[in-house]
Amino acid sequence: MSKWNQRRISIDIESDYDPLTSIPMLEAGYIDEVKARQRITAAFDTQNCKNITIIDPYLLERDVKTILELFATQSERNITVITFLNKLKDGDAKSSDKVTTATIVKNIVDDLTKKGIFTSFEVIVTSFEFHDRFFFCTDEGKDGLLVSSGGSLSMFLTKYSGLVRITNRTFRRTLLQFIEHAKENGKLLSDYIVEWS
Amino acid sequence: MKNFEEMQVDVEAGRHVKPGSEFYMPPNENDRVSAFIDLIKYRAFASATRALDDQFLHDFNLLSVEQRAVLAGLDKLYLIPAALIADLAIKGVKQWISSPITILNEMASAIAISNGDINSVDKSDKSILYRYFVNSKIESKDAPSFSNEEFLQYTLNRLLTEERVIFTWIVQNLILLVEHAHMDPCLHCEFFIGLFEKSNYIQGELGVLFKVAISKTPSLFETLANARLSIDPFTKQTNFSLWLQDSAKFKYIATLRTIAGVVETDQVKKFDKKFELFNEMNKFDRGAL
Repeated sequence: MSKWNQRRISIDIESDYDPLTSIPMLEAGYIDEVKARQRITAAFDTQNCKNITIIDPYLLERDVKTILELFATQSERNITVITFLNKLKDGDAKSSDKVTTATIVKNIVDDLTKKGIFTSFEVIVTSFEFHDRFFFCTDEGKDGLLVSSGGSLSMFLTKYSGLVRITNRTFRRTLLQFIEHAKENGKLLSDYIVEWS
Repeated sequence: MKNFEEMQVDVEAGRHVKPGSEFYMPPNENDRVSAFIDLIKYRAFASATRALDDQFLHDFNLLSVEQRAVLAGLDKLYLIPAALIADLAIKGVKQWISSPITILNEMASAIAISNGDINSVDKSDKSILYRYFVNSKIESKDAPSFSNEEFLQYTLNRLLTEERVIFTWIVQNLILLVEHAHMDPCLHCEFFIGLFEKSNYIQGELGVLFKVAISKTPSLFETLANARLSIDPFTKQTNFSLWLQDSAKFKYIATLRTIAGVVETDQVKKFDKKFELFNEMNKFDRGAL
């Protein structure tokens, strides 16, 4: 095969490549999850996203650090996390354990708010279980960058978990509907703590 | 009740933890102070005391601070450090900040950094000051503490070379130092060009930082104008995403051209010509303009 043909083939392969639609650990030359995480940061920063919704049934103390690393690269951002506060091992029922997690997360989030790292950081605890994980830019007038993540924040981009960029508008509208549903049927962290402690 | 030696053996063997318990463990294993800062920030105390064996915790609380510090140094899971830090934080850091016991000194520094208590930090230790700089948003009254040239060289070099997220507050800290003349951009051209080349996009605080730096040191514009950018037609054909990214950076440099003090040198004229040519070549391209 001539060099030009080889080049053409490699361009064809590259032109279909999207770092946000991939199983990073399977990529040739994959370095580590830090590099993989930077893809998400870069995508949201490039579009100058200001309103970001993170949908993840699990949320642990350490996940706030991951959120910071992903999104504290630009100021004046409004972060909303929709979660069921699932625990890694046990407890899909509301338990005192979940309230403990909620209280710790609330303290960490209050600290961040006090320091003005994000304009707002809202955590909504849903009244129903859910499964899928997403990062969603809900800015108006932008193309609604939406990434589905195979893994939770706590195991982010490990264990061969994949990322998929979703461009389908019907699905984006459905997800906005889900966010509304979660807000209507969910509770802010502070209210959740009061109710269950 | 076990004696201190037995407790040390238990910690080394990991027997101080309840089997199957979940707890927060900081990721920075090579950097103890950063790990301690994470323990404080992410409230590791609660999960650590839940995870520690009840009898061990009881015995541990009867030990002196110095003995507890020895056990903390042995604990690879960071449960004992989490418990000890919480205790030191309540008692106040002043007495431990200059402790000859390294781990106590590091814990006290981590507490001071987390509390934004610059007066308690050992300012002669540039690595501690660096951790303060990357972990806190600096107030203007504290800015002089960061103006030491040796510290700046050390910090800027680490920011460029370390695999770390450049958080908004770090850039805000740099803006503050430049604005208040605690950092002369002229002496740190390498950092600015390095940061520019390292950043895939220039937006928000980063955009403000370069603007402020060029306002203070207009000659920096020439340095940025010489940055390596792939805005040629060949890259446009073969690696469009890189071309798009670099074109945005090139156009960002053009926005700095009108800053007062940017003199029309040969280099600047060359940039103007390049920008004109770039616009001409891509005038039908919506993505670039």
